Amino acid sequence: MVGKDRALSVCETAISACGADAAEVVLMLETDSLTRFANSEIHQNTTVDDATLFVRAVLGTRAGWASTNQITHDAVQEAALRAVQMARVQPENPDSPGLADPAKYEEADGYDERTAAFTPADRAQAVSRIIRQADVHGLNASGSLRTRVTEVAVANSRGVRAWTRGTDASLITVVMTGFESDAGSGYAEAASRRVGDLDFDTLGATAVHKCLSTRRPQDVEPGEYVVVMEPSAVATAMQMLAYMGMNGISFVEGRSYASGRLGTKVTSEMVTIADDWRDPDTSPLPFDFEGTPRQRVTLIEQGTASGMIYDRSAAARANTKSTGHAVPGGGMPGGYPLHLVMNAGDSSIEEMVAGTERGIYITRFNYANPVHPVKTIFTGMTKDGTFLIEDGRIGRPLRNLRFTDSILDGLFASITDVSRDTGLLPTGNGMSIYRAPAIRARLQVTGSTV
Amino acid sequence: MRIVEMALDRARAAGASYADARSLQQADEGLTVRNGHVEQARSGMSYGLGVRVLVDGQWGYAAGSVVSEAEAARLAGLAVEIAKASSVVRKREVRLAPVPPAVDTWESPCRIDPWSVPTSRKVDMLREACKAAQSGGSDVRVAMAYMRAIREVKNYASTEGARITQTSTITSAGVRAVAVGAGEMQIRSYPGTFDGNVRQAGYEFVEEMDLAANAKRVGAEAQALLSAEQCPSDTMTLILGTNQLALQIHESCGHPTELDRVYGTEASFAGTSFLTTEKLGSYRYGSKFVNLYADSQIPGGLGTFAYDDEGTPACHSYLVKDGILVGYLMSRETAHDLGTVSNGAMRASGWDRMPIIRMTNICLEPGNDTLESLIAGTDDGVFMDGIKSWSIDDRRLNFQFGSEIGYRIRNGQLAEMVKNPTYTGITPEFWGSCDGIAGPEEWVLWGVPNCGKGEPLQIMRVGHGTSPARFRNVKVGVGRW
Repeated sequence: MVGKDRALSVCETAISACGADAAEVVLMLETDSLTRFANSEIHQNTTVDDATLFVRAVLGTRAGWASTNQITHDAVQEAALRAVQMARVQPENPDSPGLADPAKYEEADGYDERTAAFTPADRAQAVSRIIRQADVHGLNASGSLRTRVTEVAVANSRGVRAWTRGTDASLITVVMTGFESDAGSGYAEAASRRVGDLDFDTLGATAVHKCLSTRRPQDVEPGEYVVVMEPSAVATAMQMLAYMGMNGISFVEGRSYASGRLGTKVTSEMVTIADDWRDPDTSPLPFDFEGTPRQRVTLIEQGTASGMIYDRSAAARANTKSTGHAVPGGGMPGGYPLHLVMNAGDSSIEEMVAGTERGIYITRFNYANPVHPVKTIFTGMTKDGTFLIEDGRIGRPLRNLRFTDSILDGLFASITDVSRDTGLLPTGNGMSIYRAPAIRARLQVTGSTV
Repeated sequence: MRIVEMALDRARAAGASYADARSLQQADEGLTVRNGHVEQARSGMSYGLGVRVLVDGQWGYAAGSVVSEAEAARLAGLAVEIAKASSVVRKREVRLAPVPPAVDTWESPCRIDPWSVPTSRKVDMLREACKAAQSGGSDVRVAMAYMRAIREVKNYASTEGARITQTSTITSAGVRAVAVGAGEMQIRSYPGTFDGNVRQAGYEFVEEMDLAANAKRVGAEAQALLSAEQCPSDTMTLILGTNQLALQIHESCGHPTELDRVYGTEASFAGTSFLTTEKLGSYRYGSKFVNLYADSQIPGGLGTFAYDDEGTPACHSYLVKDGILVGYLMSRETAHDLGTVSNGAMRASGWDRMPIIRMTNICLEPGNDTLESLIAGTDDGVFMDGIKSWSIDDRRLNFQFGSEIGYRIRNGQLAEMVKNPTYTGITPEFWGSCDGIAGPEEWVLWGVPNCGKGEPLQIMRVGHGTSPARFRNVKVGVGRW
C-alpha cells in the first residue's frame, strides 16, 4: 500500500505523460492473502502483492486504454503513451461519453487495521479452530480464509481526484464425511470488512452440524417445490440477476429483464433490491472507476422494476446520468452492482420451516449459471445441506438437486416469506459484499445427482 | 533468470527443502468493435515473480509485481514464513514424484507477429465483420467483433536444477450477433462462443478465420432464432457439434480427471470427482467408442507447452481408453500419492498464482463416421452447437448445458431450427450412450480461455479437440419456457 498522496501522484504522472486531449487514470493496489485447507490440513497458503494502473487517453472522441502492474515513473509514462497510441489508431466514436467532472465524495472508512495486519500464523490459527471441530467427529474439513487490503485512486484531467482504501475478510468451509455419493456435507460462510467479525467457532460448528445431518441422502422426484432458502442461496440468485440484467447497456439494448419494464411489476411485492454501498457492513466504495460518486440505486422496489445502474457510456446512450457503477478498465461496459442488498422481512427460518407442510430446505447453490438472461432463467445445483421439510420440520437429507427456473417469474415471484435476519456473503470481487435474507418461495426442481 | 535463481537461494537459506520460482512477463492487446464503433482498444503489460517453497513438507507461496533482487529475497522469506504457518494443522508431509531437471528454451509457433500488424488494419477488419453481422437481420441489436493477442515470457527454475524459458504467443478473434425482439434474445457466435476461437499462433490464425465472410450468416441465424420454435422437451437422440462437445469434454471429462479434485483438495470451491482412484483401470466411463486423452504437445493448443509449471515435460496420455477410465491429470505431489510419475498438468494462470492441476489439451479421438452419416442414422433427434449455458454438479455427474442453436432431425435429415436448446444427463450414462463419432477430417481444436478453478481464482487457457458425436436417449429441452 502506498497511501493517498503517492497513489494520486502516480495518477498525475500518467495524466501528464499522456499529452492527450483528456486522460483518466485508475490505480488499484491489493495485498491478497489466502489460506486454503482440505482434508483437514492447510494445503495452499499464499500472499500476493499486486498493482494495476489503467490509463484511458482521449483524442477527440477516440479513447485508448492501457494497463500495467508496474508503478515506477518510467513504467507509468510508458503505459500512458501506449494508451495514446491505442486511441490514435481508431476512427472517431460518436458514442464516446467523455470523462467525469470533479465531484465531492462522501467519506468512507472501510479499512480495518486488524484485518490489514492479519498474519499467516493468524490465518492458520483461525483455520485450525474449524479443523479441530471436524476432527472431533472424524470429518473432513476444507475451505479458505481470505483477507485483503485494497487501495483505489481515480484521477482525470478534468480535476477528478478520488482515493479510498479498504479491507475485507471472508471464510467458506465445507465439512464432509467422505467423497462417496451418499456422503454428508455441510457448509458455512461469512464475509465482513473486519476479520474480527468472523466467528470461526460458530462457522465451524454450523458446517459440522449440517454435515452430520446430511449422511445417506435420499431422492425426490423433479417438480415444483416450496423451498426455504438460506441467505447464501438467495445471494447467488441476486448475483445471477445482476449478471443477467443489472447493466445500463444491456438495459438500453433490450437485453435486461428491466428493458421496457421500468415502472411495471416484475416479481413479488416482497422483493426490494438495491445497490447500496453505504450499507454499514459491506465494503464502502464512495465512487466508481470513472470518478463518479456512487449512488444508491433501487433496482426493484416492492416487486416493481424501479431503476437501473449506469456507467458513463451507458448513461450517454440512455440519455441519463451515470449512477457511479463503472468497473475498472472498462471491463464490463454498462456497469455492475458491487453492493447488492435485498430487504429484510418479518419472518425467520424457523417460522418458514414450521409453516411448510412439505418442501425442501436449501443451504446453498452450486455452479449456478444463466440459461436465458431476458427471461432470468438460471440453473444450478443445491449443495452441502439439502433437506426435505415434512410437517413443519426439517427431515431427511436429500441428494443435491438440479433446479432450472426463472428468478423473477418463478422463484422471486412466488416468495411468501422473507427473514428478519440477513447474511453478508462474499462475492469473490474485492470491495464487494452482498446482503441477503432467507426466503420461502417455490422452485422448479429438474433433476438430481446420483 | 538471475532474479529467479536468487529467490531460490534465499528460500534455501531461509529453510526451504525445495523451492521453485517463476517470473512471467505478459503483453496483451485487445480490440472490440461494437455496432461499428471501437468499444475497447487496450494494451496491457504485467510482470511479476512467484516463489513456491516446501518447509517441513508444507507449501508456502508468495508473489509480487516488483521484480528485483530485494523483492526476490523478501518473497522467498515470506513464502517460508507462510509454509511454517501451514504446519499448525499439519497431517502429512508433501512428497514429490521425481522429474529430471530440464535446462531448455521453447517457443510456440507464430508465423505473423500480431504486434507487427498495424492496429488500424485490425480495426478495419473488425468493423467490416461487424457491419456484415448487422446486415444479417433487422433485429440484430448488437454486432460485435473482437480480437486479442497475448505474449508471455516465462522463466522457471527449481532447486533441483531446472532452468526453463518458454515464450508463448496466443491469438484469438471472433464475431457475435445478438438479436432482440418481443421478450426474446438470441445469440450466435463465430467461430465459437468463447472469444471466437483461441490458439497459440500468430496473426495468421485471425486471417484464416475470415470473420467478415462468416459474419452475415451469424447475424441471419440470430435473427432467425427469434422466430424459431422452442426446443422440444423429450428424450431423444442428440448430436453435438464440435464447439458444444468441447464444453462437454471440458466439464465432464477434463475436470473429473484432475487428481487434486479426486483427492479432495478442491472440495470447498471447484468440488471433488466421481472418478475416485479405486476405479482406475476398470471403471466404464463411456461406450467402447469413447477415447479421451490429454496431450500438451498439439501444435497451437492452448494447453500446449514444453514443460508445465513444475518442470515436467509435455506428453500424451490417455484418460479414457475404449470407454474405461485409465488415467488422470497429475502434479508431482498427486502422482507420488498415486504411486506414479506426473503427466505434466501443473499450471498457474500467472505469476501471482500457485500452480494447481489444470487441463492441458483434453481431446476426444475421432471415430469413423461423418456428421452426415450420424444425422442419416437418426430418426428423431436434435443437433445442437454453440456454447450458451453450462452447469454441472460438484462431483461432475449431473450436468445441464445449453446451446446457441439447434435443429430438429427427422428421418435422417436436418429439419427446422429450434431455439434455446438445452440437454441434461449423468456423465457416465451420457458418454455410455455415445454410438458414433465423426472422423479426423471433421476434428476441430478449440481454445477455452476462461476455465475457472482454485482460490484465489485462476482463469486458465485450455484446449479441446473433437469431431461431432452422437448420443442416444438424452433428455433435451429442460425447464419451463
